[in-house]
Amino acid sequence: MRIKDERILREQIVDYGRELLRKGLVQGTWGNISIKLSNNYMLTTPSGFDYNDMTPSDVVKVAIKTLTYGRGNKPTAEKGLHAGIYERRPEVGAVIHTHSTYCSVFAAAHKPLQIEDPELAKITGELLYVADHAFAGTKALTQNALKALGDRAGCIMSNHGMVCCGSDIEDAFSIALAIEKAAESYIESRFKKLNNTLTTN
Amino acid sequence: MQSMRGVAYELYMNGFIKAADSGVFIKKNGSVRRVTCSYDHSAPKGDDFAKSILSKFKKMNAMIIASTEYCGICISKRTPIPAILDDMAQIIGVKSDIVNKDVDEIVKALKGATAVLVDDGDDSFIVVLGRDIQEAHTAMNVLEKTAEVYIKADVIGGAKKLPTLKAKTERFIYYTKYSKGSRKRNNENKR
Repeated sequence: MRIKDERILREQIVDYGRELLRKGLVQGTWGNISIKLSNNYMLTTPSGFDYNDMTPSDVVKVAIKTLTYGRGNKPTAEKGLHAGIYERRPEVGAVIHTHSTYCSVFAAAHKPLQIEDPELAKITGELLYVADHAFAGTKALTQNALKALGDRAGCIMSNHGMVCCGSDIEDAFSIALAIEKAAESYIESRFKKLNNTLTTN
Repeated sequence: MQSMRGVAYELYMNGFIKAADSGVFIKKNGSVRRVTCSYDHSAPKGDDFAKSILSKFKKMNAMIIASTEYCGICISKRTPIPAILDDMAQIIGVKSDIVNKDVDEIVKALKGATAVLVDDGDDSFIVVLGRDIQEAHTAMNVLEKTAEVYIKADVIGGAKKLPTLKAKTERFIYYTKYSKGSRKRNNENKR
């Protein structure tokens, strides 16, 4: 039963990785996904892999407490961030980290994202805080992100992107899409106003 | 992994290959050639310009010359694109400068970053280098995303640049560590 479950979860990581690419939430080999396999292990995307080339056997099984993994592919450099979220939030079953355009606007401006659409806020919560900048793959990045994430569905990562979590991969993916949509709505409504003002003047 | 022709096809289909001298170019055994695809029968054919740039870079084997929306806006405003995001710092560098359409100026700018914005009036374009076609393609997409983010961040107070030392460190780590695995796999796939 366990083996079958792991196989399905590996396939889900591959499928949702391609969806992230197709929806424009990641570019190249950036961004990453994980699914909690058990209290002790998570499955993560491998480091530096093109999402379109990834197969279920490329997915890496990582120990949540020690971040150790077997032979073969290296896990994402952000494994510590994923593991940190699973340790801090037992109810979380999947984590997605994106470099999507509109979340990146907030990341570059170091501004929290206020979710203005009440329907989207039901999925994402009303406010996403900003984590301080730290180098990718460092403990500092994990600590900063965990602090900004708290018990919320996601957070903006300064000069970097966004990380969100859900009860399972489907839930986490819906949240990732909703956050990006909320960010787009916030920025585009103001950008159009600004452009209209400039045109009028 | 997208093939060379796949990348070229996508760029033609999206209307990015329109300026004179634009296109997708690769270098193999020291010789630079244009990557053609079924869609480019009416494409610009100014290969000498591209050859004179790409041949100057020993470690770079691919180059994209294209015209994209938000980089175009930055060029028209004469606004260089700084590293405001980690991925830009990693794959491109601290800043993507604006230069005139002059081979020496372009080559000089590309010594410090893997992408440059070229102001040629109505025919402006970007030049992006990569160690392989996938890296050049990703760099082009990241540059265009960064340009859009940089412009749109103005409505919420403006983008904050990464400190130069941090941006340089990001780039060093990417070039010496992170990207090695994916490039090795790309090479294996080509065989």
